[in-house]
Amino acid sequence: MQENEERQLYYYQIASPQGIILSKIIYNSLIMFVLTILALLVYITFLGNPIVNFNLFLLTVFLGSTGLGIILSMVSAIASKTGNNPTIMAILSFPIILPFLDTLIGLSLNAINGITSPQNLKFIIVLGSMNAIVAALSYILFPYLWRD
Amino acid sequence: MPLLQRLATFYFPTFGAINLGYQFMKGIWWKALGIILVLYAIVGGLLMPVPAMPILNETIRNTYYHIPMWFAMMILMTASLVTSIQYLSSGNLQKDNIASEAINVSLLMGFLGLFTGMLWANFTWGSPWTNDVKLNGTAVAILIYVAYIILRGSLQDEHRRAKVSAVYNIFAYVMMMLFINVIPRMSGTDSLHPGNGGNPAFGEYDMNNSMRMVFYPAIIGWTLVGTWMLSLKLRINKIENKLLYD
Repeated sequence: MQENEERQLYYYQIASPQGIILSKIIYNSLIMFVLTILALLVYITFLGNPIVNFNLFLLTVFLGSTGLGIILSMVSAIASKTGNNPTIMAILSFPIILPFLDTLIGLSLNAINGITSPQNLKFIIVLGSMNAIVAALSYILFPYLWRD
Repeated sequence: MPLLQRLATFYFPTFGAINLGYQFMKGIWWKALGIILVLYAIVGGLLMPVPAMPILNETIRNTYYHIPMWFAMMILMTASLVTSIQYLSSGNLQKDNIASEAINVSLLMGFLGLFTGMLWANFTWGSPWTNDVKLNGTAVAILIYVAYIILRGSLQDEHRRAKVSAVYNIFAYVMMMLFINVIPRMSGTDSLHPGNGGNPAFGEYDMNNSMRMVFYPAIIGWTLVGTWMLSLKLRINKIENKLLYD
């Protein structure tokens, strides 16, 4: 959401606000997912693969990258309204990201060590529902930010 | 019509009732009631009989001071959420004023709740801060609302500030509820709080009727005192605005 005024005006004319936030979310999530997978491949090639439960780890990567993509899209949309002040972005996103990262670390640790516990399902439910809630909120609230 | 506006008009008929309540609560009676209830909770909380519990011992009386803070905080934050939604659907700056002042007062309640909780934890769990999911969630929720105040401070234009902070406020409320009330109950083992992490809730075993007689009035009393603080802040703002523009 850090584009300049002219481009925002152009977007304003060609698309609905819902369409813009959804496309931003999809783009950011995808780029995060692809980058993480690339980094994972590089690490596995050079450092070996210690991950026991690989499917669970991939699911964690997917949930984490979509979650970060959604949260950061919304927060950067809010931060962009303060005149592109970069510190505001960090201040707003830090507390929201923190518990999310905590849950992700817990789940990925279980995936790496191959621990199968009922806890994993709870982690997945928390992450998935958080993604859904934040996505729904962005979809509802973004039109109010967009109209200026 | 945006979804939020539809929600505001159809699904929350209480909005009108809140406006009515505003007119209704101009008198002195509810302030007096708040003071009487808080005094009763302080005195009664120290003197009334409590069940004898292991580990907790007499610190169980902190129930009357620690938990009402969180109740008052959440009620005021809910009021702030409602006024933020009202601002977004009406564009009335007074609503934005109420929302931001409610956050200020509820943050005060939140810090008091945190300090009373730290005192309590020091005596029962052995240290003022444990790595409890609920404690971390609370700290994060308070950080989110501090970020709300910083966000308001960084915007100059009144209408833009009102709109952006209302959007962030709705976002922050949902996150706060998730971090304080949902995630601690979802996580399996590592919470020391009653009702979280598989523990039985406080009310089920420990709270008898003589405790309830102090506990519920304490909640109502602190909420009323918080509302009083909010109304005082709003009146000060009104006077300042008048001095500024006249």
